[in-house]
Parts: sequence; structure tokens; C-alpha cells
Amino acid sequence: MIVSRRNGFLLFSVAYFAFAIFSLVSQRALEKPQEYSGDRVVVTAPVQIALAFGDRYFAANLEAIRLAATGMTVNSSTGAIDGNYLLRSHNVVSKLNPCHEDNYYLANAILSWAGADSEANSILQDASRCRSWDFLPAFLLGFNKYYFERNIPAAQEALKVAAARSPENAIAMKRFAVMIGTEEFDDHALALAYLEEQKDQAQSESLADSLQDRIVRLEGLILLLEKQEIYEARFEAALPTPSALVNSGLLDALPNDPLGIGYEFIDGQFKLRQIRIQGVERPQ
Amino acid sequence: MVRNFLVGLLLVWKSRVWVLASWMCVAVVAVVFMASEFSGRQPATVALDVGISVLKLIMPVLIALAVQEVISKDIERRFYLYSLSYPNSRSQVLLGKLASVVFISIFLVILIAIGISVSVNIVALGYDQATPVNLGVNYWVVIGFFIVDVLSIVGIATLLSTISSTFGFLLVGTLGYTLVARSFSGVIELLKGSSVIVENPETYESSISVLSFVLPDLGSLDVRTIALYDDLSLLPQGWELLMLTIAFHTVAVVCLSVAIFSNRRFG
Repeated sequence: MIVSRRNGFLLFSVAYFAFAIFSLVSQRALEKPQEYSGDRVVVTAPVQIALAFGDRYFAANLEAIRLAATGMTVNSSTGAIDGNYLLRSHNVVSKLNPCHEDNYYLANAILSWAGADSEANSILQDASRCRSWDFLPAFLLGFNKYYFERNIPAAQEALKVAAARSPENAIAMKRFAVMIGTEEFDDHALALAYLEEQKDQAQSESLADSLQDRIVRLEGLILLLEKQEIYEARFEAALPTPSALVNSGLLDALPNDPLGIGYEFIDGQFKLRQIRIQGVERPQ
Repeated sequence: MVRNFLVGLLLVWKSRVWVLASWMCVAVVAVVFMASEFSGRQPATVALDVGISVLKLIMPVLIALAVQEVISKDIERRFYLYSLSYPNSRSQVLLGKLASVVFISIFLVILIAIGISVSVNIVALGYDQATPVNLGVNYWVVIGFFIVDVLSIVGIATLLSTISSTFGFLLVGTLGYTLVARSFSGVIELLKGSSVIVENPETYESSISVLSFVLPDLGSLDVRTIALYDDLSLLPQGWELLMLTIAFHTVAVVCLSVAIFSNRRFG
């Protein structure tokens, strides 16, 4: 016989080597140009429990690690962020382990400042309920309710919960709750200061970078509001369109949002534009 | 019975389960350190969380191997002609060997748990978390609950080893039991009110709930949040009842395996 006990391993090595080479070459030849579809797979929570061998906390950690490792990508074809995947992924972690600290923190830092604040709020709400000792999710929820939704009663409610959980910050938070009731302070400057503080505290560079994008986005809004005020004082008339700012020479160009979402001008008011994401369940 | 217990320990000592178990210990510690790198705000919590998860993942495999060494191989190698000889009763043989597997499993759990605790302590030195982990009483309560889970798996593995002496059957059966018993309560909870995944969650839920008459709910035994977030109030309501349920299930399974082993014909 050609293959014998003596040369068996040698022939195996030669044949395997040939297989490996041809496999590599043929895979190259068969390769199709990949198109970026802009959506990643997120396995639903019950299936993830089974995949993690019945261990929901392990599943939550694996998904959170995936979130930390992939981060946020901008879809080159639409120029918008790939928020759909992030949202579903954060929601799955929240279902598997609502107490997960990285999950609610990242969801708030990434999603609420990228226009998906109501989805981030539902994650914060779950985190606040699960982490009954932690003031931070309740405080962030209160802040978001006020800053993004202008829902003063809900914001004050959340701040009250936060104040009860943190004796050392209770006075400041109660004062904040009263102040938002009177609407007498510069909330955009406050938000900016808050984002900058978050950025300084951020452990990872990628989080700091994505927070920097949100700071630039907010600075753009503040610039628009300032110029609007100057315009209205100078011409003693309401600003008709955003482009009037450029035409009148107050701005060289409209500010550019690094997140690619932009601003909107509704009823004479500049706002951060929200992104609408389909297929996401909103708690009623 | 004491003699069979010692024989069981000796069989595991002579087998390669030890080598595997020590590699697993090293792997758990390595995974703990790697997992902590992925967390921005709670590295020690994630490290402890993943460490407990990996411990839960490897124990069924080690149990299946130990049961295989101590009980199945005895039959496979025809040692039963010797070990079942007078004055040993069959129940003494099985219970003695079962005791040695229980001893080894608990020993391994505690050994790996100490490894996790030491490495999480090292991780915790690096970053001062807002919510620190509790590696004292709370952590050992979690490990205690996990030991109940381990005992239940040992019971099932013993039962399977008395039915068949093939290792594949034992391993697949033990792992399958672990998977279903640990996950069904979590799956039921997440399916509640969710019509996205299944058409009619209520009927689906009630049909899965039938499982609770066959399998004990090992998923609810996972009380690690009390150690992860240092809060004893996260202990589930009615855990005493849960413990009793699982204890009765384990006792029933062990009695069944003794009955099967006593009536088994070797040929």
C-alpha cells in the first residue's frame, strides 16, 4: 500500500498542507465585496439565557462587553449613527440584568445625547428600580426628563428619589428640583458643564471621544441660540429661518454636528434633533 | 461505606480530573482579570460576576468527569465483581462513592471560589467603585447557594451513571439537565408579556411552567447580586422554600439511583 504505518503522518502533513493552501486560495477567489448593511445582530434576551448556559448574568456581561468593544459607528452610507443596534443591545442587557452599572451609564452617555433619550430613560428607570441604593440613575433620569423632555413633574419626582438615596448630595439635588420648577437658569450651560465633567471622569478613551462629540454638538446648539438672540435684538423681529443667521452675517456657516444628526428649528426654537428608531418598544 | 468513600477519593486522585481541575482554576483566575478590563465603572463587579459564571459553567463538566471516574468506570472495567462482593451492600457502595463525589465537588467549588475572591480583591485595588463588591459573608452565601445547585447536579449525574455506563450519555445528560434547570425560570420571566418572540406568551409560559414539576428551579438559586452590589435585601423572597424543593428533588433522585443500582443486572 502507498500509505503505510511509517509514512502515514508524513503523508497526512503533506495532504493537510495542500488542503490549507488551496482552501486559502479558493476562499480568496470566492470572496465577494462586502457591503455594510448598517445593522448588527442582537440576540433576544430569553435566547441569550440559553446560549449562556442558563446564566442570565453571564449573558448580560457578554453583551455589555460586546457593547464596550464595538462602540458607536457612523454608517457611511447615511451619515447617521448606527443607533439601532446599540439600542437593542442596551435593552437586552437591561432585561438580563437591570442592575448592570456599565449598561445604564453607557446607555445614558451614548444614547440620550445622540437623540434617543426616551429609550435611554427607560433603561435608567429600570436601573433606578433595581439599584435601590444608587442615586445616580435616578439623578440622570431626572436630568434627562427635564433637559430633553421638559417634563418638570417627572424630573422632580426622579430627583426626589435621587435625593433620598444620597444624603451628601440631597440639598443640591432638592435645590435643582426647585430651580427647574421656576425655569430660571441657563440649562444648556449646565448641561455642557455636566458633559465636560463626565468626559473628564471617563475611564476609556473611546468614551471620552464620543462624549467630546456630544460636547461639540451641544456647543453648536448654544452658538445657534446666542446668535438667534443677537439677531432678534438687532432686527427686532423673530428669526424666520436658520439660514437668516448666515445671510445677515452673524454666522459664517451653520454649526456642524459631529454625530451627523443635526439640529431642528421648530416654532422659532432651536432644538437638538431626535432620531427615530424603528422596532424599539417604548414603555408606555 | 467509609471504605467506598476513600476508594472514590483514591480513584479521582489517580485519574486526570485533578489535572483538568487545576487548569480550570488557572483559567477562572485569568478570565476574572480579563473581564475586569472591559468595565469602565465597575471592574471588580464584572470580574466577580464573570468569575462566578465561569465557575458555574465548569462545575457540571468536572462533576460528570468525577462521577465517570468513580462510578461508571467501575462497571466498565468490571471492578464491580470485586467492589460488590460480600459484605458490601449495593446501596453502601453507591452512597459511599456518591459521598466522595460530593466531597470532591464541594472542595473544588471552595478552592475556585477562594481563587476568585483573591483575584477580585486584587482587581478592586485598582479602581474605587461607587458600589463596591462584598467578598465577605454575602459572597460565601452565594457560594453556599451554588453548592446546593452542585449537589442537585451530582444527584442527576449519579442517576445517569447507574442507568448507563457510557461517558457520552452521562456528559450530555448532565449538561442538558443543568442547562434546562438553570434557564427555564429566567426564560419564563422574560417571556412574560412579550409578544415579540412568541405569538401567544401566556400559553407558551404555562406549557414551560409544567417543567417545574419535573425539574428543580436552579436558576433562582443564583443570588449573586447580594455579593455584586453588597445588598442582602436582593435575596429572593421564599428562598427557604426553594432550598427545600431542591433538597427533596435531590433526595428523590438519589433514592431512585440507589433503587436502580440495587436492581441492576451486570452481565
